[in-house]
Amino acid sequence: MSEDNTKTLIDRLARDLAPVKPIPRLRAALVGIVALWILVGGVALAIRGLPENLAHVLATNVAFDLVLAGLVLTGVGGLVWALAASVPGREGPANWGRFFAFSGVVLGAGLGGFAIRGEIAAPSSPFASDMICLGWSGLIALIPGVAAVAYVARAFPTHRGWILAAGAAGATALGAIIVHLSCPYMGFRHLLFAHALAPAIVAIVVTIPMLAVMRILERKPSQS
Amino acid sequence: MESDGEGPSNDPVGLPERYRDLEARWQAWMAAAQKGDTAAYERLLSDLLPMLRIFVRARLRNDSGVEDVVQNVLLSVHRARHTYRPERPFGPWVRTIARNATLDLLRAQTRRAKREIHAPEADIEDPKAARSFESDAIPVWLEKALSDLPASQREAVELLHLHELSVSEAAERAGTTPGALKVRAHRGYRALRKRLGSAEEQGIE
Repeated sequence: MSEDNTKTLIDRLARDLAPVKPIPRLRAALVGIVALWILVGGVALAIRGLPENLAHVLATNVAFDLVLAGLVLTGVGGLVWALAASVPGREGPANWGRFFAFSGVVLGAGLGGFAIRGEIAAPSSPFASDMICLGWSGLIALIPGVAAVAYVARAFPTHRGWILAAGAAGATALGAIIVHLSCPYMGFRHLLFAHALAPAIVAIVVTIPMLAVMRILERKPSQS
Repeated sequence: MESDGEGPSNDPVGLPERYRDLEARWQAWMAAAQKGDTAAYERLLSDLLPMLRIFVRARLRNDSGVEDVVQNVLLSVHRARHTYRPERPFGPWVRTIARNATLDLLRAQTRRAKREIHAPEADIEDPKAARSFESDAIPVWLEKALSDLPASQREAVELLHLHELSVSEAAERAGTTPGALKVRAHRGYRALRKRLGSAEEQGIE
């Protein structure tokens, strides 16, 4: 490819230029997604209701608080990571988001899980309740998640697998916060798998098939 | 620390004076380009070329792919121009695009190198073809088969498989739609398969 070709390419790109509207600011997008989460989460809380002893649990149960803090970190971190990684030149926020997202998982599932074992001697919950909490987390995550995907799709994503996983984990963590606050079960397995690890589980479940679908859709003609 | 004019300054962007001017110019041109100003866009892309060539050359193992990557960067800048926000610095934005385009090419070269290991043995035994492998050029048997294709089909196959562009990038480069490019490439593959199949039956020259 010669330098003449590059000049020709520049001429052609300039000729084809159409006006574009700059993508919304990251902060505005994040605020919008959080606002949607508050709206959907409020409806979910109204349906599920809050346990009467929530204030007491929050004040006295370290394990519960660690899981909650982990979910908040993963929620905000995952979404910031997904949104920022889709915009060229925003590596700073993307790196911070990644750091917070992973820290949230370590804090919630690692430390929280460790603390739950020692602190809560509640009877184990039925397996169906685990699935119900995971389902609620996914359901609450749906609208904020779609809003995040819409932003990412409008931007210029490169590492789509990681971005999808980060977005799915972030949105699910936001959903899991509502579930965590409104769930009556306190068993070890339930808190660990249906609350603390919900973002990681949903991220894996959502990302792998979505990537496979995207690869099939983008196959080159020779492979079809 | 005081700024001496040439060294790093205390401004929030943290750039020396001369780069700040350049940065301000690029920001203004990009903002104008987003509004549809073709002259500003042409000036911007032309002004970026020297920086892009240095940036890409510093990251590639050899000079052969530099112009190719620079063109990919320009295409990416064109496709991603809506993701630039005029209040943000332009340099980090364009450098991220350049870095990703360079990494894409390096990955493509690695993939191609892996695939070439499985190429027909006849080529490896042929000293001319062996030289082609070393210089990262097209194998002789493939070059011969490609040269028999109509120009449009050859271009489509080359852009998709030899330059490892995506369908949309290749279509943009060829000045056609992705659908039309896929059709050209498909016809090209069919013709190549036919030619290479009959060549294999007769023994590859």
